[in-house]
Amino acid sequence: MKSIINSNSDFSIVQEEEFSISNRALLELLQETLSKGYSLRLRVRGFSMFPCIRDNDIVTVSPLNGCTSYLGLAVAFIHPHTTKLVIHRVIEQHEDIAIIKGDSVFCIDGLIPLKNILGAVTKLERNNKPMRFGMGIGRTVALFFNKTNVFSVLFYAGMRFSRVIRQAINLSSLHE
Amino acid sequence: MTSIEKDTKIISSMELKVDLNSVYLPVRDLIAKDIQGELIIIPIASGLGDLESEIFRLNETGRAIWDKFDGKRTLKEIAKDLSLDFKGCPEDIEKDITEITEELLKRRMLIEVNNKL
Repeated sequence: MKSIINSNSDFSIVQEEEFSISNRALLELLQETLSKGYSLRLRVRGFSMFPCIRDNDIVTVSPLNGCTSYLGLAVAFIHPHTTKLVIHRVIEQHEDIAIIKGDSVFCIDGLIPLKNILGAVTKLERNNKPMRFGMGIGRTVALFFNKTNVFSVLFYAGMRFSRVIRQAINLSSLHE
Repeated sequence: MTSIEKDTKIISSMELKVDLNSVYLPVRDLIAKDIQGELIIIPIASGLGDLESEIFRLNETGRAIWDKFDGKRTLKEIAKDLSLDFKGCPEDIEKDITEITEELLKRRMLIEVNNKL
């Protein structure tokens, strides 16, 4: 964090270099930005959208601008139970609700009212490089893998495999 | 120094000159949101706000100044208003306002509307 105005002053403006922000504050900023028709670039945390979106990736969330079909889109929405901001994929859409689920999780987020969907992920960056993010055919492929739990199975198999390997390494180091 | 560098230097020094008799207004392309008593400002460039590179936080008193940039009052008038609110010495407040205005102008978050006097 860098202070711009000298600290002796009562009036201060501070530029955040590593901005730490609560989920609630992030939600408010995203709502405000999207409601004015702008997009917001932000860092995401967590593994629930693995492998499409990974921990520490930077996504750009854009307003939906009259888009009526959200199917297959990775959307930013307010979870009705937790009131938290979540980015997951729409796997089914009905008249005024959507069924949303993370790519690497087995459970759905529930029935989410369409009004809770704020915007969609339109760009993805990983390690300072822009990544291809499924908006065309990739959107359909990601939707298929999400619905068939292929990503979830691979993710949990990978986690389990790495745990077994770690345990084996720990055991062998104990024997030495 | 090339002529372009010279021109840029002249323009930037002109932009940063703060006049207490001038009127300033926040630019339209930014998001200013009150979060937990502080004002968070995200500049917008090409329709995009960027939480990863440019985000500013104004404390309560900084916010009090920000709220008074209404495009109608001069900095001097704002300082007078604030000296009543904060019971401070008007000269000190004018100095603080000049500093913060300079910083906000430098970051293109404010524009000068006109010269009132």
